Amino acid sequence: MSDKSWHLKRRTFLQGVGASLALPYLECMGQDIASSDDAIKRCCYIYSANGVSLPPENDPELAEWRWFPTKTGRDFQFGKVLESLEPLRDKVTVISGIDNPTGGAAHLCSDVWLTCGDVAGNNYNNTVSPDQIAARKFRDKTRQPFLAFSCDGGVGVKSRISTISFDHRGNPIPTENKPRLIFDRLFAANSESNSQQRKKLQSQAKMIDRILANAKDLNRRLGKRDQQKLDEYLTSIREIEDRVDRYERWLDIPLKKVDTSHIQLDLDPAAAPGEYYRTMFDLFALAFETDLTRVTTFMMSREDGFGIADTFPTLLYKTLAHHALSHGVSKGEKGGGGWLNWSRYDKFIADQVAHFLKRLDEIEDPNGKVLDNTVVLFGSGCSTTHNVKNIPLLLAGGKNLGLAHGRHLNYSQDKPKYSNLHLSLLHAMGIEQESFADSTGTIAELFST
Amino acid sequence: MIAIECHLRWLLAASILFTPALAFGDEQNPKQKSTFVNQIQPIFRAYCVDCHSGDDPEGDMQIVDLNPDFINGNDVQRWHAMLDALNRGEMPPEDEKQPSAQQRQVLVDWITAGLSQARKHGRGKIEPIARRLNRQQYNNTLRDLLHLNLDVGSDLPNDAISREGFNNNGEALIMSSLHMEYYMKAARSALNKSIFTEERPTIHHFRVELGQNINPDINPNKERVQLGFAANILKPEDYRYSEPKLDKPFPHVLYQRPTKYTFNEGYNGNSTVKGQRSFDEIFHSVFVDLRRAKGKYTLRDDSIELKPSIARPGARAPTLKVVIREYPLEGNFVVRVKASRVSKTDGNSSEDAPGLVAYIGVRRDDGEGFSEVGPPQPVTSTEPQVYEFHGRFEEMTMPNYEADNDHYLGNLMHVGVYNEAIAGGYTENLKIHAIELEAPYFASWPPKSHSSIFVESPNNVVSPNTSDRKKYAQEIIRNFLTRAYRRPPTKSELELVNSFWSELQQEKNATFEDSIKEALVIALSSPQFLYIHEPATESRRLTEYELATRLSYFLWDSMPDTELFELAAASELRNHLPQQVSRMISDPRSKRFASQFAKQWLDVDRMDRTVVYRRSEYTKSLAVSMKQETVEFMLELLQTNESVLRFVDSNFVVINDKLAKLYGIDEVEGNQFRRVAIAKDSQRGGVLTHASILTGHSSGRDSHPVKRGVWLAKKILGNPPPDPPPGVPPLDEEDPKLTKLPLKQQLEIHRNNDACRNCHKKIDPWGVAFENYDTIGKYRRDKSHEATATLPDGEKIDGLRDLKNYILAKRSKDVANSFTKHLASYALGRSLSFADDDAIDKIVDDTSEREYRIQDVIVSLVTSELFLNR
Repeated sequence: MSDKSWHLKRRTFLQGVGASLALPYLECMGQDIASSDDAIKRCCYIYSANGVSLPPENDPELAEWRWFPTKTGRDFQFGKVLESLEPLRDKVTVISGIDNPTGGAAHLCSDVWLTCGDVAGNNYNNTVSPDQIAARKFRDKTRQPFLAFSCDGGVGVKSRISTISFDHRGNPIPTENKPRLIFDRLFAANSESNSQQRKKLQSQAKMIDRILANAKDLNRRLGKRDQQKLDEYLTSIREIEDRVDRYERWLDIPLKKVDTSHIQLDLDPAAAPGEYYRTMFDLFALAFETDLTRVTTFMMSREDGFGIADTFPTLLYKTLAHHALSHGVSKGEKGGGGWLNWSRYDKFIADQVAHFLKRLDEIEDPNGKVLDNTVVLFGSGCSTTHNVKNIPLLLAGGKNLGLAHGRHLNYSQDKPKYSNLHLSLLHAMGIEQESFADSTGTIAELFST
Repeated sequence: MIAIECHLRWLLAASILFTPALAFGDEQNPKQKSTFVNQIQPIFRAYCVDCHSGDDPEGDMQIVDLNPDFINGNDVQRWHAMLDALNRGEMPPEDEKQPSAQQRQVLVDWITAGLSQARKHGRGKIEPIARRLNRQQYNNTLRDLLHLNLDVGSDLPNDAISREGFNNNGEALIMSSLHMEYYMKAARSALNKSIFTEERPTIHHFRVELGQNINPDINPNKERVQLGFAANILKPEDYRYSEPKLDKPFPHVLYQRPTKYTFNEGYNGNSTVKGQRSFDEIFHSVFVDLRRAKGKYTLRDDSIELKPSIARPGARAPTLKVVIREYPLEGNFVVRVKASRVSKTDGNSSEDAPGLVAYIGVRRDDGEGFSEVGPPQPVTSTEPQVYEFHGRFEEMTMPNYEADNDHYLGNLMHVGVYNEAIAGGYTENLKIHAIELEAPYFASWPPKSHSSIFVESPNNVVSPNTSDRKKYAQEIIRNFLTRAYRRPPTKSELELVNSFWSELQQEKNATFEDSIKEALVIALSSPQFLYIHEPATESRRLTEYELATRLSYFLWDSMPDTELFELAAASELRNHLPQQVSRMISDPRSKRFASQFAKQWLDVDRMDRTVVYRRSEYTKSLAVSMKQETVEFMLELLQTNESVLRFVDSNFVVINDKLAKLYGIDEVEGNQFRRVAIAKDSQRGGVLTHASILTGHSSGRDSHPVKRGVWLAKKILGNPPPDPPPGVPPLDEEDPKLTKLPLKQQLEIHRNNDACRNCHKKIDPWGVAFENYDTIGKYRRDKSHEATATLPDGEKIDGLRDLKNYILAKRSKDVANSFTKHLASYALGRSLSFADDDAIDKIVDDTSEREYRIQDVIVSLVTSELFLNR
């Protein structure tokens, strides 16, 4: 409701100063929106596969290479793996002890990391992921409802999925993985005038109307399963219709002008994994900075040795591949360098995430840093190999949304359900739904120190 | 809630076993019910529930929860799995208490009766579902529909893969807004590239002839193009540029290359920046660069003689290229190279001849990016001959063209050649006499892509007023929809698109072609085009058009051709299925089937997910050859109609020189694949010994018996082991204690773990038989790699030769069954269930007499109820 009045306000304002104004509206309008319901709320969910290295705590040489910090509460200490997060320690919370409800099947841990869905058994029926709930809520506020990235693109295979986003029907949402295509689709400068673009968008809208009318003709004489497929098709078209409509409404509001020259777009992940991750995260940062979208997900790697990212440790450190690393540790004793090799790669991943968080902490929103208006959840669906208990979770950002930080929260007893965490984060984003998946409530500690 | 319910059920079941869950449907045979209570339940209680119950039942099989109602219950598929396990003698495991033969029989009979009852009631039948075209199908269909020589949908997201490994499964092929966005974009782009509005085309056509002082009348002192210190540009007197007339059966305009340029910068030597300079000579527009061939070419009177590239990974070929600044940015092109070999005697065989490669490339500061135009062509004659290379610019490495770039180095494109040693060894020099480019290349005008939309018709009246052309437009639309929807459009479908066209042609400045194009974009974005769709609310026969579509997507991965459409229109396709199958397999498009099916069934792409450590012979080109081998082998079996059992073993291989080297087979020269007979005791034959399979199912450091064993059980024997349960400790590859042991013993330790034993004793023996093949499939025979194993049925074998013989002797029907099931799943685009068993069994039986020849199996499948009905 208030969305609309805000829209009006902003548009009137822009018309007043002329549509060619290059200043981003966010900076023009300043503080007053920060306190209202229109305050910017974003989320970003980042997944890394195969769990993390957790060498024995009592091993003096390896203990500092455990992913989880030592000590809990405010006095926690990062180990080597997460040490690059130290400068941000007041804006992050490490959560340990929570279990991923996979219905018992470890390889499904990425399918349900965001959905907490019940996908065990013969029938794979997943449920909506929180990013999509947020995308639906914020869809009118930005040009794109969400962005979903992975290293491989597409949706992958059930149980070896290459997306962590699932729509309201529980269908996997295909991801994008090619920086050049993503950039061209979303950010490439448009040399046409606004009226030319408007005309184009209008004729596009008309085309979509026709495509819809044409498809509806098929709507009769269908079996139930065919009907589902047609619904899927119609929904996809309507989403594009919606987007065209949104773009038209956004036409007079310029994208914030930002420097994109630092982003390398033509690179081969198999040749430069670090650069590739940086670029993908830079595209997220760019999307947040220009307020192109407020919802993003990134699947940095896939379970069970699937996908290009599995080969990254080999490329970087000449060790086993990622999945093999997660299997290749010595149980209970040193030797083989298994834990260490794995930890070293965990550190590489954590460094990429830290780089991204720091970037978000540099970019300005009208009421603070972008990071402070963004809920970032980074983690994995397993702790160590095939073990869905005590999964690694790092919560960052969202200070302005009420999240309290600077702690290591450990739940060895009285574990909250994992879905309670997702519900809490939805609440932080102002999405006050009563429950999410099998949730039993929210986690109060996240909001208070 | 769900968890509570489960617990509750378990508690109840534990106290009064089974009673609460038993809700038999009215139709269930009462005898069936009493047998269950009186005979089956006691067997379960005595032999099964110890393992198959509780929170974490073995094999995820919770026997207590199984609903014994085959008609209304939801567990028919699981009963079916139980029957399989019983029939194979897998359950109960041999070290557990065994039921008597009679008890076993009672159980088998009871389940069999239940299943047949379930089938009668249509249970377990997998309803067909509208299948979205996957990415290859979409690309192929647009190629065939528009006569377009280009994959327009290559930006589409990857498609999901089904349980069986196929990416054409209707269930898994979801649609999303991202897909739709790309579909709409691709449709418009494809039509833009197909439809031409100009009356006559403008064609770039030039020839550059090479030879010492071939162009004597030029002023050698004029200041000319320089390209930095490493440049090696041919002197203008040593090449001659011309724009010869083209012999085309249609009027066209020849493009005239400009000679006047004003360049920014431009280097003379390494350091002199010149700023804005003007030139007026052709040599700035076209020049010949030999930068990468320094010291590796000789200037002759009538040619440039090029040394071959060295057959060493990473070796850069000495290249000769014509550099140009103006060129069409898209469309087909042809490069013509006049070349000859230097040897005194003409070789008869093409295998030791120098290979001529043509490429399109782009200048980079660090060298050159390029893409080859088709495969290399052997130059067999000492007489100069012209070799043609056809390509499409969109698929080449092209400069990112910027129209306003006036930099000296801006927009430069290379049309180049080099001399590749196709035979793999060091071959002789190659003379290049001339290089020619024709672009865009049109065989006819308007091209077929255009004329197949704008068909010849008396309705095509010339009028400046587009609305006068309604009749013609409607004819075009009807024609196009019939092919795009793969059936005649309904009246309302036609009316809709016609009305869109009427609206579109009224738009300001819309040409006739524009309005048609837009109307066709709608058709290509419609579900009628994007889905293979057989609408119905219940089971029925396919229409002839639906049959044509199923058939063509099965064997060609694309839409039906004219002949199939004509047969369908005459309702004659069903009557001519064997003939059509045979015709379609002879058609080159069947290669798409061979390639897709072989790769997906056998999981050849698993190689991409395997990192091979420290094997220098594992080069990129060997990896490409490995994958290709499995496709070529499948194609050979298909084309020559060999038995399905040849996948297990064959007295020939289909290989090239690289694989021959890996396999230790002599006298195979050259990169092309060919059938090579092998000795009876050879270590090769069939797909089990394909390097692609062995590499993909290795650990990257060594062989991996478990992966190979699972692969064999799943793909070849059709008996997939269940997924590993959660929390199972894997083989620790880096545990030094373990790694010191021979692999066989490692596996034994693994098997002795209670959690692993039951499954792994069904997997490991298969895999151990592969032990004489290393990470990348090279044969090894030594003490540390023992390949002796005891198979699940007690048979003792030593090595793959024994294993193959065993399979052929005892399990050939399983192989035929597995192949047929995978084939049917691919052909139908869906998973199979027990409801399809009878149909599959029938195909296997019907083709057993001739040892399951592939074409026989295909014909039997497409003439079965499975394929003819939906």
